[in-house]
Amino acid sequence: MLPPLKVLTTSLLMFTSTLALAAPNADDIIRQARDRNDGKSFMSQVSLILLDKQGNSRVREFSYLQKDYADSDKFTMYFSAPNDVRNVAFHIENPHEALNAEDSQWMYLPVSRQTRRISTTDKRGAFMGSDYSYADLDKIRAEDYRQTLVGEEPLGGRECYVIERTPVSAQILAKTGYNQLKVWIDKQNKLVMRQDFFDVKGVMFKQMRTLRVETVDHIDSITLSETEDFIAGTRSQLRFNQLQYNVELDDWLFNQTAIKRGLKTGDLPEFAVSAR
Amino acid sequence: MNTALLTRSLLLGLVALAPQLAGADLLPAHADAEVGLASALRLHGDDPVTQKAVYFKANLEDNWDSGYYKAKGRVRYDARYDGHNPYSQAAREDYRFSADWRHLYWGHYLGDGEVTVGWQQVVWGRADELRVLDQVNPIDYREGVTALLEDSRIAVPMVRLTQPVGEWEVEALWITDFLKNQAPATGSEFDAPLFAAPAPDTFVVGSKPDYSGQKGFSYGLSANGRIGAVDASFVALNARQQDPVYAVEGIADDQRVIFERQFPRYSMGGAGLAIDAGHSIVVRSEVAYFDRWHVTNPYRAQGSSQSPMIKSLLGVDYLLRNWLISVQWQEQQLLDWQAGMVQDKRQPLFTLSAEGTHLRDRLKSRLVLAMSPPAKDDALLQGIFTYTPVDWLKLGLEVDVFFGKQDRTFGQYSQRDQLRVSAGYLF
Repeated sequence: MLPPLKVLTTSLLMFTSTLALAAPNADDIIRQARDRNDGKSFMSQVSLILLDKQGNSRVREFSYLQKDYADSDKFTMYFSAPNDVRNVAFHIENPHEALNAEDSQWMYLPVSRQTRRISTTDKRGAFMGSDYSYADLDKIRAEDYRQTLVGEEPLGGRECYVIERTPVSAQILAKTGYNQLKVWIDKQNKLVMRQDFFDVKGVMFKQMRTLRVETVDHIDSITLSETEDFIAGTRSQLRFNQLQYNVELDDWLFNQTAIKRGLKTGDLPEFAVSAR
Repeated sequence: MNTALLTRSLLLGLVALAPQLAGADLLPAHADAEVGLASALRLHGDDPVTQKAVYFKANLEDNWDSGYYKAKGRVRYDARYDGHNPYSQAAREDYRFSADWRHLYWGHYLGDGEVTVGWQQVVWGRADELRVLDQVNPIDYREGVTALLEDSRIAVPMVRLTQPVGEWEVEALWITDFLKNQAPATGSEFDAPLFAAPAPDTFVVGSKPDYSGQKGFSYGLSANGRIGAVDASFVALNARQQDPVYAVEGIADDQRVIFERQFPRYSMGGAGLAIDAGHSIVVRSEVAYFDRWHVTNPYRAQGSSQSPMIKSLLGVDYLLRNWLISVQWQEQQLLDWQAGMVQDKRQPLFTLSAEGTHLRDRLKSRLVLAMSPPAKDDALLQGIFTYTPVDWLKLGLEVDVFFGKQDRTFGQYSQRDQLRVSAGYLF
């Protein structure tokens, strides 16, 4: 259930001139956003910042690793701070959408010293207490929604497509809890720049915004994202630090047994981490 | 092999770390601690305060190129066991001051694998607070039968080797010394028939063999990985039973039965699996086979009874937004049950639990119903709440309510329902 943060992290200038000239189709735009080049592997030190109504903040730090495989993308997250989440870890395997298979997810809790399999059918839960749900952080899935291009407009100085998306089934609605999404996608690099979330009454209750984009290793990447819950009056930010693409990451880091072991010195280039 | 020597070697190994630690850093890379107050109230009878404690917990970790160490300990002083109180002298001595290592070990990297040496906890299987495959560490029952396993497992001295092999991880462990389950002190708040020693008017315990040294070792193997979409575990363990078994040695002159207190050796093999069944459901199952399980049988002329035993578990987890709801059925069965055995032929246990996090992870809740059918004979309702309003303060509230007959696991505490509160400063 836990997320490929991929949707938040990377993008490539990938539109061909042919596509650019053709009349855009919402499904195509979403697929291009899903399939944009984000390297064969990726890692970052991520800060998850929780902001309450008064603006008080709590910061959760984790190492985020991703590697592409023939049939899936695999992700591993190791939390290092603060103490209440230290050594908590997740591993997610996200099969390519064409395979029509569900994600697989495992969570290691150091308190119980057990790795548990977690169902991925319900992604409405809050990701580590934040305003991001697990569904928000999931990789874009084109076939789960009916999408309509409703316009084009500038956002933060970037030209964007504006697309409305509605779930294709009650199952998808139950999985995400979102009755409708409105998405702003950068026309040039296909990054999701903003996403509005609507409940079953059509009320926009949450918004995800891209606050900072940087080019890393020739790949446009979201390095600061914010989600605001209008009902709770709270906000959360994801800040991607030390972002690196196409790094050499061993395969053994990407299975469910690895998260119990944790990261050790030398497992990752340039990451100083503690062992579990 | 002399296991006392191994234990000493283990200690020496840890001491030998000192130069590495000094070379790496004088201060650990990570340190956290908690100091706090805890109290408990019995919801029945006079003199309801059963705990007035101050506690300290600390956790230290450091790592370097070739390895790491981890140390986690806790200390508690309980003023309830000083001065006027209704408890026995043994209880006062046992509960007034307690300290233990939750773990204390050193790890050395061996390629992708590692070897760890020291006092460790090893959890096998995926059961939620039940022990089917989870047989490595003994349990501290001095706070009764409802404490979470994470708080009540006793770390044991061992050498442990783990090695990833593809998508699998294999593990071998050698426990150098025998440690038994810790029963509540006689005359303490948590003393109960379940833990009672043989009645001295009928039985006499004539001997208590020493299991230190060569007799105390254990060893085990495990493999964890995947077979297709199924998570699978296989374990094997050769160890001593952690609860005492009383073997008949004869009849004393005063006609009392003479017992010897033993901790017999057994072998166990088991397997577990978990699969995401869709619809927010994960199904878990575990089975363990114990080849020679010994049971006290005072009606025997000699020795104790033994039987193969099977423990099995079926669990279903349902994820509902921020709640994980688990239903588990555990069954323990003696395959060759004999009349007079002090253990039932079948011991079923049902648990229903819900664990959730709310208020942006500041509130963690756990609600449990546990029972052995029929529910009216043996049941527990438990609530555990931890609230962290600010990062430096942790507040705890726990409630145990028992139902049932006096000779059953939960029923024996039915007049000792408890409310526990704590406040800890985190730094």
